Amino acid sequence: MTLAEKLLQVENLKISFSTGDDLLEVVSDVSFDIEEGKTLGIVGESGSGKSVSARSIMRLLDKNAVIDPNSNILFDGQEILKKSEREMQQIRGKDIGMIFQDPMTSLNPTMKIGKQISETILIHQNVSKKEAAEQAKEIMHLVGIPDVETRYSQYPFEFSGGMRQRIIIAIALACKPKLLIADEPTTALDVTIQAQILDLLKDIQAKTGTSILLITHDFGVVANMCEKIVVMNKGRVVEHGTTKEIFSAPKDDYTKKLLAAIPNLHEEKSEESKVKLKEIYSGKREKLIEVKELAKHFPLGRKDILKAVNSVSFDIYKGETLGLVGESGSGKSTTGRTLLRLHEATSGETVYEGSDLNTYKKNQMKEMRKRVQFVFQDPYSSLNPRKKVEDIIGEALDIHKLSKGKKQRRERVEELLELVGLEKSFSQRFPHEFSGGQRQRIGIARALAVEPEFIVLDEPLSALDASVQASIVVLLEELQKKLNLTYLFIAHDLATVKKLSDRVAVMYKGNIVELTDSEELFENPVHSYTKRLLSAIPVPDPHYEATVEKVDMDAEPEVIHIGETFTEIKPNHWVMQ
Amino acid sequence: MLKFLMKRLIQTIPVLIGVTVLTFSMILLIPGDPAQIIAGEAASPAQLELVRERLGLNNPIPVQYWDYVTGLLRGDMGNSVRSGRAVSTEVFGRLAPTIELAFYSTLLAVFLGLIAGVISAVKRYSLTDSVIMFGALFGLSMPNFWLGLMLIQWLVIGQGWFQASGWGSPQQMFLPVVTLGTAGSAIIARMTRSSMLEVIDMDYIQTARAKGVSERVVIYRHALKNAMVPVVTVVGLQFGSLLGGAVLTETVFAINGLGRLIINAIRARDFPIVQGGVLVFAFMFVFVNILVDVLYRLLNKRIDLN
Repeated sequence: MTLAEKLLQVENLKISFSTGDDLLEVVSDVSFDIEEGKTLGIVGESGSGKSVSARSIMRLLDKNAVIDPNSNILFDGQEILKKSEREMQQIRGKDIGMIFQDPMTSLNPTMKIGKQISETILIHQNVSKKEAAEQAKEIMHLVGIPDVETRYSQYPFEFSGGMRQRIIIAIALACKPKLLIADEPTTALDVTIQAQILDLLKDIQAKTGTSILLITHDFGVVANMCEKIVVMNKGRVVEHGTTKEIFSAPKDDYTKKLLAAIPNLHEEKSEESKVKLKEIYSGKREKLIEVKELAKHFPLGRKDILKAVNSVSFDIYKGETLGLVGESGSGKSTTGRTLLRLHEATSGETVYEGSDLNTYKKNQMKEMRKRVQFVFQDPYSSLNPRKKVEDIIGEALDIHKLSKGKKQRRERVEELLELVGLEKSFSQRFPHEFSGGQRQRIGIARALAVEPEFIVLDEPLSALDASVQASIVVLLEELQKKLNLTYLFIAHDLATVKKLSDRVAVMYKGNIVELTDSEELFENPVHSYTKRLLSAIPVPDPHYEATVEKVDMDAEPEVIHIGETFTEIKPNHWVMQ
Repeated sequence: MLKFLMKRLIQTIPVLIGVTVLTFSMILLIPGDPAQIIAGEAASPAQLELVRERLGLNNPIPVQYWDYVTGLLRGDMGNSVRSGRAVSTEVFGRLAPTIELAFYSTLLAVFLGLIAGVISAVKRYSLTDSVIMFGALFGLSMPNFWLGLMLIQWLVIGQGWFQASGWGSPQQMFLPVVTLGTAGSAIIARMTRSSMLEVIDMDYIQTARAKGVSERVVIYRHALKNAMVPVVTVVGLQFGSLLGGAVLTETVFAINGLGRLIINAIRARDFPIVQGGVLVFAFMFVFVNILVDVLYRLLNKRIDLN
């Protein structure tokens, strides 16, 4: 291979951050290259240095970042690290485009969409405003924005997340760059939208021949997109090779660990789970909760109402995990919250051991809260930053007067910490001292403090790295066995749902459209939305991705027929038809 | 937008009614008999009765209020006790210098405040930043009448560059505007700085940089417009307090504005003038804030949703 074919060569990249007097090395001796028209994936978990490496190519690092003078970044035959800021401005947006992670915050909220795209064109090309607008509209068309003329003069708040990400891609593409850096371009998006955006990137690459540097934590995404992969851990490259090599024969332990942490969709259920299902279906297991036509509407302004949950009915059996899956806005979290009366239901019943929770008075409900608990999605914002762990977990003990005296309270907190796999001594520390996974364990310990029998887990994994997710799943399974817990597990990620749940309910626009045991759901999905959802999951297997035929993702979701009645199409498989 | 403006105007009606209730009750709440004050210490009981009858002071309070409000709607705010001229003539005759003073001071405050705030934010934690923020704190803590007196001492008596009284020529207007604008510019500078710091860390600023936009354009086109949103609110409130500040500044610089009129009227116990002056101040405050809301919406399109 000659040098000319390589568009980007990064050699011995070393980046440190100066923190006061110290230099903290975050990227050490990283080397990789990208050929023209190809896609390279950098995979790593948070803190691996993957984003910092990518940003250094654009020279968009924070002021306290120091790049080692022996590092080289050769782009199109030019040394990026020797360029002045002014020269870099010529390259940014023109030769290298960048796509960011969060479409909700990456567009200027007070600038019209069209102007945000044409601005790039006006900076780098010697064209009139009118021509720039024409070009911008063409690119909007290319990235699949419908009704370009109207959309051109709208503001970002008028766009959905997926549409915004298309606009960000349009901005990056505006000057037909040779290299596109995509930094976690789909992490903040729903799976079906993720599939659309990934398809779009591939499509654009085929049309324009641009090279792509894709940064992600998700092996599913790279299997789908990249010819070659670089795996990073703690600022170092631990493995690199072709996608097929790495998936079939990973050499490094860390890569193996990451690959092992990916939930396998084809994994068989454990014997225990099969026994559980048999008991549920034969009526041997008692029902813990019967949800009957539960609905929750929110007023939107004076006239409109948002039907977040539109009459859902399901049962939860003792000791099982019921998965509740759906994309953002499907009403899954609202269902969980309404179930525990964190929201008041608009109508319907939640029958808990014979009586309807919605009719309970305040003091009855307080008693009830000892038996039902909630674990929140974001481990960063759901723990009070000014309280010690002891007080965060102990608060529930205080409210329900479950411990006598300080000593007993501390002992109980320490016991709970050990139960969730943390050290006793953590009780005297504050939340900011912990990692995301540790915080989520603290959140679980808090829920367990009152010895509940039922826990609603509201996306407890979605803010965590894959390897951490796997360990929390194991913890949740162990706790369920040990303490005989019943879970309602809410998630947007079908793969983890399959691993943890005995049965799965799929939600779409406030309705449960399909409900059956997880194996049946994955093997014989019936409702068109379920099929769409399953097809959208990027499967971390390059061979599979190459062979499987996909549901067309560009179809507008509006064409999905929800159905009118919930019917049992075969034993224990319910579908909205 | 028009619908929004109508809605905002309708919303001000209760506020305006509240304002008239308060100005009306001033007469009832002040110590002493208004008729006595108007007629003078030496007035006989018969003369007092005549004054009461003429001013409607014998009527029940709701009727008095009704007469007051219907009078206002006709543009009748009563007559000055001292000069006997209509309050409306007196008040509106003095309005121009006060509005000009507040307006130029606001302009100065916004101009200085924005520049200082942006520089401070861009050069965060540098010596420049510290100097500007110290200056802002100083400007904020200084009482403006004191600043006015110091400026007169230095630039009028010492250097003879400006005039210390009256209103109209640039030499007369400069010092009062500086005096009144200083505190405002200090507040705006601090507000702009913190708002800019917040915006500069946003993802969309990174997006702009990644387009190859130069740093100057990033700051002024992408960051400042977004940072302006909270600043505009402060400017509106500031304009209101400038009207209040005008009372002091007009006294120090002997400007024949509304503020000075009110002060003199209070000294002379000329209540109809005080009432009228306060009412006009309150109305101006309300309408300036509507203006701010409109500006706020133009800056921040997202509010259109609600």
